[in-house]
Amino acid sequence: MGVHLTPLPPADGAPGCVDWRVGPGLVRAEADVPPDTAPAPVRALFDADVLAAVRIEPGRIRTRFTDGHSAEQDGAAVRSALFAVLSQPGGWPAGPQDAAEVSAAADAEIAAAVRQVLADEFGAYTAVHGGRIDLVGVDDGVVTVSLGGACHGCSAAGRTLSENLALRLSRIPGYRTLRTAAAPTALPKPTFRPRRFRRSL
Amino acid sequence: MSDCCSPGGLPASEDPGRRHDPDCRHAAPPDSACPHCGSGGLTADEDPGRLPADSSCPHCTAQGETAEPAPDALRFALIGCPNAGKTSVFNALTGLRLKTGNYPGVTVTRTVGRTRVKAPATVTAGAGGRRSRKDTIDVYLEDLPGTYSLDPISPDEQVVADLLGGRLKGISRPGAALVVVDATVLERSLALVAEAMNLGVPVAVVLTMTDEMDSRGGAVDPVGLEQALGIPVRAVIGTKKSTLEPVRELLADPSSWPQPIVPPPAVAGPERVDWVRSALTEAGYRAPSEHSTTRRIDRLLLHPVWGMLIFLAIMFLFFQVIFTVAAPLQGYVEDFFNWLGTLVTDHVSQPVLADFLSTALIGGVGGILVFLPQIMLMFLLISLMENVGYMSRAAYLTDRVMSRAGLEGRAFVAMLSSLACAVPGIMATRTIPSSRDRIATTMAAPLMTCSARIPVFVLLIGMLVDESSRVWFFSAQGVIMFGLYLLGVVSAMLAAAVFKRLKSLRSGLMPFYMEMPPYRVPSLSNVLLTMWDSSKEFLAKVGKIILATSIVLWVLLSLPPRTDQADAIHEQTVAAALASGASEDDALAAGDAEARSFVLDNSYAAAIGKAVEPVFAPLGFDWRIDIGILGSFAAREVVVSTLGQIAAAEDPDNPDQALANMVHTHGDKQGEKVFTTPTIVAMLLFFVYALQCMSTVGAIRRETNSWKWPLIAWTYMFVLAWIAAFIGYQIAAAVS
Repeated sequence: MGVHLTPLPPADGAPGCVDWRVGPGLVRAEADVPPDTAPAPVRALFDADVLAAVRIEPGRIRTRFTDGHSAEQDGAAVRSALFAVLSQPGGWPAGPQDAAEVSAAADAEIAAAVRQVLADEFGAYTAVHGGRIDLVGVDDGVVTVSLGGACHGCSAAGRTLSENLALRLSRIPGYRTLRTAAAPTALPKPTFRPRRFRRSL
Repeated sequence: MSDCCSPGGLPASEDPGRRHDPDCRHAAPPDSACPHCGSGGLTADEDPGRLPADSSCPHCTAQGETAEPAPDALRFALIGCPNAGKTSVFNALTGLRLKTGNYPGVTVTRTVGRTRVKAPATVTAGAGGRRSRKDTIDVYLEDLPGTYSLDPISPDEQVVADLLGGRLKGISRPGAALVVVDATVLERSLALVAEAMNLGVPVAVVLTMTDEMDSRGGAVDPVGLEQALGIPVRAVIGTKKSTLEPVRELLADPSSWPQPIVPPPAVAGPERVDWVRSALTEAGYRAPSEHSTTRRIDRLLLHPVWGMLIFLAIMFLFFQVIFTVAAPLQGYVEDFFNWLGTLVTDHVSQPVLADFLSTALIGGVGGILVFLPQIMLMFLLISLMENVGYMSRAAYLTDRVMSRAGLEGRAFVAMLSSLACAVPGIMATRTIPSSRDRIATTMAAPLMTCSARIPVFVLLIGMLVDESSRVWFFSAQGVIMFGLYLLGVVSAMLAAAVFKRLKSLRSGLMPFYMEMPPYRVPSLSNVLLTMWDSSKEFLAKVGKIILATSIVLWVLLSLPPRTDQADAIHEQTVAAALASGASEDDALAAGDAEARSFVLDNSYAAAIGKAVEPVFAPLGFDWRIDIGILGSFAAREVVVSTLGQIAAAEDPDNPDQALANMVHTHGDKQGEKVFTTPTIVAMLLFFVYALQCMSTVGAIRRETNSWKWPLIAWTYMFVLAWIAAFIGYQIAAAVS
């Protein structure tokens, strides 16, 4: 699984800050990181007086630069430091460290992202058709959903899942495949979409 | 060595491939004589990137250029991997028509084009761009060679890196960059995007081939990609102008483009791999399936044995077509010029003017234009092969052979370009990383049978074998033509191999990688336009070089007039003919012919031809052929116009016959026919090998930045041509 390190401007507009979106399960605690407990590559940036503060939470790391330093100038160095830390097994060395718990944390983050997709326009789309899709669970990147409402027995349900939902979910870092609770076999990877269905996406 | 030029891998003093930076426009003005140079693009004066002439640069002062830059003009560099469709995007945006093809490496230099876009609401005149009308501004696009990385390995990639790094002397750095990305190979194109985003200028992505991505079952969401990269992404279909509108809107104001808060990892490594993977995930990227038709066709066409046989069969059939299809067309052109000839004799009474029209224009220039159908067909085939995507396969197939010769597949692309004209072929050597390979290829490329040889070959083959002769079912003329082409290709390979054996040019093989583009049905208009552009350049060449040499030759052939002696001979011949019982008309005609022959034989041209006669006498050439050969060192076709002109001068009513029946006028062969089988064979072989093209000599000089290599090329090819012609003459004489 990749680190998926993506720098974003902070949503709340906090000055001198970069929000780094990170892959699922790599950060499993929510805390401000004081310089003395930071992993070595990050501590080096504290020591060099580049970073003023670091805050971690699942899926996100916020870094704040000291005065006189900026994302433009020192962003690359921060990226390298964060990458060095997060590409280690277990990611950020905080919170539970054993493999099963790391995986569970990742699944929890993926589940949150899947719920977001189901609640957003995709949910609206299925609701219009009188259907309903619920998340059953995420296990090691495998997302299981259940079909309800008009979906049940609908001949287009399979296609909706494989061509539409799976495509959206594939953008979630850490997502591997999609199953339905009723049919425990994995849906085949979509390979072909007839032209007339493409518009409906 | 001027400081205009980019440094090569070796120290300048050691680098045999040391050459002018291809982009130094002071150094390399497009060659007006070359059918492929200088097509499209802005002239140096219009180029907004030009800095004022640099007095330390000898080329600037030599040319006395005073082009003032427009420092406030917006300039965009178009960068992208080879065959991503940069030039298609460029053409669609600027309305220019640069050559495109479905194979990598079509673009080897920088071309600047202008396009007009809507001015952004906030722009103030002079700040963002030059206001040309009320609400539009002119922006400039720079089409650049394809590159996989901004860390260059070959000179054409060096241009891109130097331009973007602001290291090109005399040319300022573009204000923004458009990275053209082929959606079907997005995965391996993002590294270049990452490098571009670290340049410190605004960057946007133009995603091409999205239609093909769709049809091959791939997926990528431009909006998702835009979010992932943090820069504008616009999906286009390069060949459909309407899809370019969103890009045009972008061009208005690059300062408003979003840029990521932290640029992506600048250097290759796990960090960048992660960045690419992350971007792909977020863009919902699904790799397209392999092009199934392409795969099936390639199984056959790239087969080591069948592929090669099919390649040869295609070429063989093509030369059949040249003779069977083009011959009737050629007939029409001939008829047209004959008709013009009768017009001249009927309506032009001024003798000097009539002679000029019928000899220099109709005999000389018209003699070349007769071969236009063949030339157009040749360009049609090349254009088809390029646009379908077969060129890369041909390169792949021959890589095996080429590597045995010590050259890589890229060299073959250069060689293939030389089939049209050696000048673009030599320019295409810029894609070759090793300067030594570049030289070896440059030395061999002129041996490839270029289109300028077509008229010569067709004329001579027509005199050698009859149109109706057959080899099995095939036209014997076509078979000979195919043989000559094959001889050219094989000779070029051997020459390259020999040059690679030279101590100064020996080098290890670089790995050869080349995009195998999927086969694409070419757009008819694109194929025809490419063909037409090439044909137009041929016509332009006829209008310039051929016309000029024809005029010079006409003067040399008719001077000194020796009117008194000619009149005396005229009278004597008429009297003698009448005495022997000929009719008055016949006697007058015989008198005219004798008088004309006398003037020709004693003209300045004859004096020149006779002076060099000893050199070519062992090949069976007489002074008239020698004149043609001398002229042909400017451009090969000149020999055709020269012979046409001499024939027209000897017998304006029936030049074809006059040419075929030409006899030696003096020496020990006096009275014997000139165009015997051995002589024609010798001429054909001479034209296979000799470097008779000033444009090519000039191109070699520019690309190697020395007179040494063009001199070597000219000399070795002349020696080779003479020896081959001599051997051919002897063998043909022994056989017949």
